[in-house]
Amino acid sequence: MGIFADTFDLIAGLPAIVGLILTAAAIFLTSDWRLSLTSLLLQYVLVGLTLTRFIQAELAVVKILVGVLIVSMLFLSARHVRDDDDAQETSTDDMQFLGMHVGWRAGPLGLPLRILTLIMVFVAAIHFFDDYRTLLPILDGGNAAVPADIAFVSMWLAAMGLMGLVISGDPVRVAPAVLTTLTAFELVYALLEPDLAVVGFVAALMLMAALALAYLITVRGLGERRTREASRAGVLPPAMSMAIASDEEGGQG
Amino acid sequence: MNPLPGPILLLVMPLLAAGVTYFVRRIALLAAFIASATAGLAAFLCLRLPLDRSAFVLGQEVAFGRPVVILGQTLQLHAAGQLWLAFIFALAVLFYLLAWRVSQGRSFFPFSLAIIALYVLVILLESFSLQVLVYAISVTLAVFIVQGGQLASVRGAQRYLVVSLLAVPLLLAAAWLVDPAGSSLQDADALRRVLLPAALGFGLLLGAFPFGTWMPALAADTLPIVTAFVFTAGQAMALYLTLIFLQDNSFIMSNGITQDVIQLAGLVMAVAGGVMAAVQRGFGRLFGYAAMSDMGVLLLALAAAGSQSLTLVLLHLVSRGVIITLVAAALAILRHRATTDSFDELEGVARRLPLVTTGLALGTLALAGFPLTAGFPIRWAVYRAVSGEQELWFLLLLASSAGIVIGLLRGLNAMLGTRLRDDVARQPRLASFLVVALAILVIVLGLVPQLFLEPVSRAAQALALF
Repeated sequence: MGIFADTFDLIAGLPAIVGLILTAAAIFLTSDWRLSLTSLLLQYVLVGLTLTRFIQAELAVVKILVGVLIVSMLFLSARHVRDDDDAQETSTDDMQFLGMHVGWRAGPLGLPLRILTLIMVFVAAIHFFDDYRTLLPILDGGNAAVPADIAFVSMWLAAMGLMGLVISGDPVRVAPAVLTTLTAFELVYALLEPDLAVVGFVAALMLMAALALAYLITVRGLGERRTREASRAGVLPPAMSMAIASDEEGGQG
Repeated sequence: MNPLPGPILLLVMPLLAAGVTYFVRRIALLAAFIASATAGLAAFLCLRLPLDRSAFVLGQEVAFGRPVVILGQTLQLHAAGQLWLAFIFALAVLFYLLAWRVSQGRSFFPFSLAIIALYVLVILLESFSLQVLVYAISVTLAVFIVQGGQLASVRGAQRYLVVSLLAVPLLLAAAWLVDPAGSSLQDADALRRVLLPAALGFGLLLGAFPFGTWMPALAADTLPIVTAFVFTAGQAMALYLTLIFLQDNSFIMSNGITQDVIQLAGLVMAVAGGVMAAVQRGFGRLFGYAAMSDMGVLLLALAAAGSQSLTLVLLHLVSRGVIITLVAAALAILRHRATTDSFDELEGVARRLPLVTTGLALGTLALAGFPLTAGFPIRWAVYRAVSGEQELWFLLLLASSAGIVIGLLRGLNAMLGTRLRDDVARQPRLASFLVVALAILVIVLGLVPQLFLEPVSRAAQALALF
């Protein structure tokens, strides 16, 4: 039992923090929805593990379960509409690495540009970390209310999530990005706000947000499918094709 | 027999109606009747029932102001919230009547009633953090009616959702920072720490520049009455949260930086909306940018009008609600009959839909603050307040109004063409009657702006920011 507890404590420390940094990076880099959602699931598990250092284990488990439900909803929607697309993409697209399109023209930003962005965000995160910590609350005794590792990883998750939002308008990419940003906040807020009512409403909001995003993924996918069928039949409605094209190009305003 | 507590009544009524309308959603007449009757009754109760004593409604004793404790949370209706709900329920009546004649999707009735129930909960809750969370949940629910099964584009719904979700962490952080139990505001640095997330959070929630791009996208992609629901009831709730936060933390508003930030955000929003409206090629996006510009004026009124600012803001909110409903009603009929709102494809439509064209023109002019319309008195008061400080700002605001009018003239120029449009069905009688009634109300509010002054003053007194 003692060995199990020690191992658990060990994983909840540095490995979980490193894991969170990597999952956020994976969500940002990949254009494969399966890899993106798997990373999101892992992210929720790691957040739960990390939070066991600060809050009751039961609450952390609830957060993990909420994450599992969120990813399930998104997965079902994405699978429903994306299987056809994937079949088409594999026949026409350029080289891939671990589901990530390596070509310069893959998605709104190809992998090389995404890696460049990632490096720039990492450098910026290190540069502005001290400034960011001054924005976080300080307890009456003068100690920081949020430990340095949690502060850094929350900043990283938020930055990755926001960058993901900026460069993509596709709901399949937007959903993990916005949920990563919210997770960043949850990581810090769970340390500050012990009120169970707030914790419950935050969980409800996360679930409802995932439901709404899953709905948008489905609608968008069905729209694309209809456009494809119409273009095959030679009766493409111009307004629809333009709207879908602009959805893909534009990030979040 | 114990009197029925008001909070329970206000929560149960729309929820019950939401359930019933879901089952009868295919019968538009019945769904619209149930929804509008429920909203009308709730609006009447909010306007008539006293908070300090019980009253009898259909033989049942109702204690409207009595607090109720549910799951450890105290729910209580306060004076400001009572009037706020009366406004939202009254607007909902108009939306449901319009949605009966011009379909806004079958899910509109049940979902919008459920959303209104969440708005009621926002007003009844005492904790600001919970209010923000419940409001955000209402936004996630709104996505379903905003998209309404349309496959063409998800841009408007997605932007609205993302912007609202991003506001939540910022507002919760601001609430935690000003909470005396959580931390203490002892120095200027601490104050600045609160101002940053609060300004960003409320900026996102109210669609302030540069976060307001969801407004034109929503107006272009979404059914017009649903758009009006979000622009009026949804944004009224966002404003309510802002005012409640400022009321609880009066030191924020007394800080000069806050007022400057709100003024600047309002000015940029008003001007950007007006300028962009001038170059649109469809009435949907024109409506979105005009509404965005109008929201900028509301923010300006909040910061620039001195001791009367709150009264002006609330008056503007009421007239904005009527104006936006008018534009949405006319636009809904236009899209229903002509199947488009693009200027290029509307040539000659004005001859087939004269009342709708008039309503659309009048509503858009009112959004521009044209004299003799409901939009004029408040805009004029704001312009005068602003011109005392900055003449350039006054000119910029005039240019913003001119931009909206130019956009409208371009649309009207297309609609007034000579082409015969036998493919466009004639205007529906009942819906057109509603447009005419709203148009008359817009003119009456322009001539008698103090029509709603009494309830608005009561709400302003209850909120009392200054």
